[in-house]
Amino acid sequence: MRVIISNSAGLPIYTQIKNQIKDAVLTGEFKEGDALPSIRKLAAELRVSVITTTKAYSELEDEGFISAVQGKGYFVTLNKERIREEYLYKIEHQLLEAIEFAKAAGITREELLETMSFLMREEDL
Amino acid sequence: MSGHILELHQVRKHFRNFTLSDINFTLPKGYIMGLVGPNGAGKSTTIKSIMNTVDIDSGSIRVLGKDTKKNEAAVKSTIGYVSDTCIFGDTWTVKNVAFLMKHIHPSWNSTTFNDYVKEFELPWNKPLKDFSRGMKLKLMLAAALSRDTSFLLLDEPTGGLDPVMRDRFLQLMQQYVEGGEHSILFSTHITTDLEKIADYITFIHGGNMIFTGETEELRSSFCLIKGSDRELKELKAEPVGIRRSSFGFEALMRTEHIRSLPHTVVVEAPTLDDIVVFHTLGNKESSLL
Repeated sequence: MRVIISNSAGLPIYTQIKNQIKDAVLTGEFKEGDALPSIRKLAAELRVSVITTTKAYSELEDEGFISAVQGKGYFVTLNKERIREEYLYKIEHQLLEAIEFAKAAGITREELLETMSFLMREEDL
Repeated sequence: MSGHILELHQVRKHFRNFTLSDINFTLPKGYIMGLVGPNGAGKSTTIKSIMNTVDIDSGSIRVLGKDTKKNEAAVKSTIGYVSDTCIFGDTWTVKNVAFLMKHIHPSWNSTTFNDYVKEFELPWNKPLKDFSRGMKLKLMLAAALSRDTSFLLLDEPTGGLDPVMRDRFLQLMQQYVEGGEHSILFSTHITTDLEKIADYITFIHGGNMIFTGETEELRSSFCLIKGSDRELKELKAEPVGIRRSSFGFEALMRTEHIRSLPHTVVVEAPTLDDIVVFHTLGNKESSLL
């Protein structure tokens, strides 16, 4: 797996690690049941603090991407329910932003729905 | 026994023109802590207190649960110490150091030491007076890493090292704590490398402890703002430190004041360096208005 830490990304380092592991899971590079490097190993490899990698793993666990097995380490466990929930939340959040834009520019409900269904057709949804 | 490698409680030391007061912090097993602050802040005094080479006036220091004053020999055998000045004699050679260490420390590992001497390209037969500061540091580091210790105590270990060696040094530090049983406390004023690998930071300034806790928490307790003189006048809260120029100002604020800031100022996350520098600058200039 590739994890790149940027000093200019403006995101905390643990968020950068979390997002990249998430991407690796979502793109299928990491499969269900795959073992992740230990928290301390990852910290040493990436030259970041142990607290940083601990935070990244604990958030990934909260979001249902990985889980800890006592004495064995962390494994990819696709908790589909949790991931679905998280994506729904993201969708709502971004749609809300679109609605705010529509309001600000005086775009009607119909126009917005029209755009939405057009885009969905384009993407085969 | 507690999960702490090091505990300092209300440590106080008075000198004629400097007082280190009420230093309190703990370092859990398996983690790295950086001790930061400008020159003369009390970093070395704190480290020397842990080694009991500075006799503290009050308070207590425990290493692995043992009081350092009452169990000096036992405590020191568990600490790998790298001081800011070379602890070995000027006329000694690396060979002499190896011989001495082998006889002092039962856990001394000659093979490990030889490997480090080779890797760090240290000459075996040259007297230490001909060593550069960086070479002496490497030698002390090699000696500290060649025996069984549970705690590394390093005073300004990266000063005098070139960037390549600094990088290797950080890697060695992370390997040392990787098993989760060992800890490191190191003082430094070069905070750029430290920022990434230190789990905890203790920040001292003028003999007082300003902060101790997780590195990320320290960074998020402050914000760096930039703006014009007009915006400076609109500040409702006192900045921690401020720097002014003919083009405007930069100031370090506590994050809790972020909502009261004028909307037009630029707000950034500070680096550890910023935090140390602005605390040292102080807010005298803001009262010049």
